[in-house]
Amino acid sequence: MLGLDGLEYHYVEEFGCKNLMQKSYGMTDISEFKEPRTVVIWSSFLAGKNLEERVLKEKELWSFKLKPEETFFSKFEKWEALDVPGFTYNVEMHKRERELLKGFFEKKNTIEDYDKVALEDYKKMKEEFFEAIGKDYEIVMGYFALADVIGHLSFGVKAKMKLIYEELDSLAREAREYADDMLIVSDHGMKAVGRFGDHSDHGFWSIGRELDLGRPRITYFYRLIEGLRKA
Amino acid sequence: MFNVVIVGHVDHGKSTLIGRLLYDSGSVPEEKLKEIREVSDSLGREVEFSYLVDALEEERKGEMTIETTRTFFKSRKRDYSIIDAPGHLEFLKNMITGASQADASILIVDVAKGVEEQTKRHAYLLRLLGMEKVVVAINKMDLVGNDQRRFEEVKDDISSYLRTVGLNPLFVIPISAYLGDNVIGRSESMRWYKGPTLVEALDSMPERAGYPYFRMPVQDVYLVRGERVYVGNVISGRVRKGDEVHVTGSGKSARVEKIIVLDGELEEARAPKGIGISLDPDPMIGRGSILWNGKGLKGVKTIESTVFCTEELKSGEELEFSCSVQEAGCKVEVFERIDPISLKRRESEVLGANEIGRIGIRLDKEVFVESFKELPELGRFVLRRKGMIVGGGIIR
Amino acid sequence: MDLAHLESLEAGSIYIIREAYYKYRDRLAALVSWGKDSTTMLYLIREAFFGEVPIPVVHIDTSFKLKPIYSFRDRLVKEWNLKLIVAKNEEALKRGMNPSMGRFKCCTALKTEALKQAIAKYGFKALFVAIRRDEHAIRAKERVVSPRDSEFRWSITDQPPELWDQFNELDEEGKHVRIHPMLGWREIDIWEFIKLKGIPVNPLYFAKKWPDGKWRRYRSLGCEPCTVPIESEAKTIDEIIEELRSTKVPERAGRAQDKEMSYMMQKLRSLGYM
Repeated sequence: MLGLDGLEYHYVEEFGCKNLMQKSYGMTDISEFKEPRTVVIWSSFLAGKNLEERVLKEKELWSFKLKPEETFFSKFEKWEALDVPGFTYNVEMHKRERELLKGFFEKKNTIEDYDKVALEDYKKMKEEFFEAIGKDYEIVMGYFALADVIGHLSFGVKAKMKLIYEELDSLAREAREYADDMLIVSDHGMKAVGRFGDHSDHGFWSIGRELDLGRPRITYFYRLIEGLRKA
Repeated sequence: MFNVVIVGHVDHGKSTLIGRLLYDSGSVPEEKLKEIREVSDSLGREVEFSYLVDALEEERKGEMTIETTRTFFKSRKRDYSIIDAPGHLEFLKNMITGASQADASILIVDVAKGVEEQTKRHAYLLRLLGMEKVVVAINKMDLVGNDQRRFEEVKDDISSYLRTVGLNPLFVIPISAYLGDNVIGRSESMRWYKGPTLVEALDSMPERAGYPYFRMPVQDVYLVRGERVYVGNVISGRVRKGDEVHVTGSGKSARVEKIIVLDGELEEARAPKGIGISLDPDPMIGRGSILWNGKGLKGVKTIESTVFCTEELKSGEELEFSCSVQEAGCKVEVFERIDPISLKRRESEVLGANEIGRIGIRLDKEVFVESFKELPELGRFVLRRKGMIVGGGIIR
Repeated sequence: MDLAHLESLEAGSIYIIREAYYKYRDRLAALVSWGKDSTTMLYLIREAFFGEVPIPVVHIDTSFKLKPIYSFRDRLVKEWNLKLIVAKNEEALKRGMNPSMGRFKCCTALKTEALKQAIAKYGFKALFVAIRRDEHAIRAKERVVSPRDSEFRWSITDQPPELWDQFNELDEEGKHVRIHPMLGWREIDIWEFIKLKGIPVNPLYFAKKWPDGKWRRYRSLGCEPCTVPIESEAKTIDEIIEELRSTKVPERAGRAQDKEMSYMMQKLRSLGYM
């Protein structure tokens, strides 16, 4: 499973990312949330129910952590979840990204400094991910923040975003070779504000089989994944 | 400044070509490029030039080039302004708008896909707009292994179409906008091609030649310090104080008493210049007359022409006609519709939106014209419905 | 300097100005900000009418404009004998509207609303606006004559064609047209023309030494809180022209991006990123 933060449906189509689209793909409906917040949506995805209220009670949003038994992973015997927000999130690593984000607005560092760290973190996670899917887990979920992180300061710079989407597309292609089936989900997409990127009101999903899901809510996937387990 | 419009079928590489022209001519801001290049280096991926134009934009509206946009670049010889005309059929109005402002045009054709519908439609419209400086760029040569045979095939295809509609391309050039081959720099991988690169071809085009005779369409009459002054632009030739000039439609002639501009009077004015003229004796004319000397203009009350229309036109309909500042009511008669793709002509009493056809225009008063080739300003016209332009054409 | 190029731009603009005056006469006004573009436009209007400016000149005054803009305005009004209309959204100003309440909000209230009020009050059908295609991408999509509805919306995808030197005429209830006589001019053309004709320009455009020891000048003029000068040592028109020849940074990039930055900061905070 690939959790691709901030992956935008319209860019996936425009840039022709065939591996991200897989056999079936579409948008998710996240209108039930007051704001498309990353931790809220991923937690709700993992738990199969809307956890907005509960997550927002947390003082430090990014530190919110579900117990394994609250997530669909508990339905599997051997699983791995890498860096998933609301669950196994690497708070320290991403803190650095957010400091540089703030630093950009405070004119302490440049976009290039920020992009550099985002790309480093991405490459590190990619290595860990391919190590994990080489082992005999029943299910592996890799979370990649790249599209979101780069997107916040550059979603409107298409030449750059195209490079990012191409990279994620080849990530999907390589990952697919290891798995019987693959689900790709994003918490939300993005829309351009000048050169910058704001969260959009829909996410993205795709799966490697013929399946008409319409425009599912993010909590729908809990049952879908559970069903995959039974099958 | 030389205005160049890039036309052709959607996805044949217009944006990539513009990105490449800007990049190779050093017109892309360095800081924009740096951040994109750093990501591409880090991921080991190639930047796509079609998105470079976007990188210069601050706002985007959807996924296609929806309007005629303009960007500037410089060659060794001169400054260029590139007009990007959208390739989608539904944006034909914008393509026409863009092309009507251009001095020259590049018709782009994807070598793998060959000549397609909008390639033909755009070429036909260039012809109807009176565009003569046309370069054909056969693009994406890298996709066919820079194969000369394939290039010649597509070249023959497009050339024979263009000949049929009466256009003679000045050059047909094999390029790869993606790799930059034969755009500004010469290609190492197409040594078989001996002609100019795209920008060399553009550089070789002469500026518009001036028409020698004085013409000044009268836009308006102003009272300047108690004196009636005819205002307008000298669109060709020159006029001097004391010259005898004639007035179209009236048979009258008069002597140029004063040539007036902001700072006072001029002894002489040459095109292009916006001036005021007082005449002796005052012919008491108004907007729409043309002051002239030298060769006379042709007065017409009917015009037969091949036109394009952006809204439906029907036989018998009454419309407004404008040629320069000359305005008249008119009745149109549609003769036939021409399909720019198959070049088939069919008798018809109606032309639909975005269609091309031959029509007759009966004017309710005489207007004075020149052939487009000699003096474009008096050789082109538009048709309006309630003030809004719905079609146009040129006088050959 | 390419004199032939400037002469053709000049003639083209004068032509557009006279066409508009013929079509709209007393329902026409010029919208000006007293920057180099609108000053050049006023000069071209004076050329078209041999020294007179027969139409009202509307200044949307947010009351936050850089101070020297006001003195420059008063000087030109006197020298060129302009019929000045100052449009202010008094009601919003009374409510205390200012840039700290959000730039989008402030611009809407003090610029857009003020203009709407002026259009309604004086019944203008057509406005000259000194925008240029090279300012930024969205303006590259403009036409010389561009219809706006009562909400000032501009339909970018469905504009009627504009052919050669023929422009659309529009006379619909509730709508007005923006007329852009200088659409084809570039920033450098403006400066070369200013130099050629000796057109007065606001001294804010020329570099001065700031308290921190750096030299700065304004490249475009707006409201004091929202306009940032650029670092530059260009102290004369010639030096500005020289500077423009060697720069590739878009003129308005700074201003527009500042707006988006403050919006994004707010958004990212509310999403929990900062």
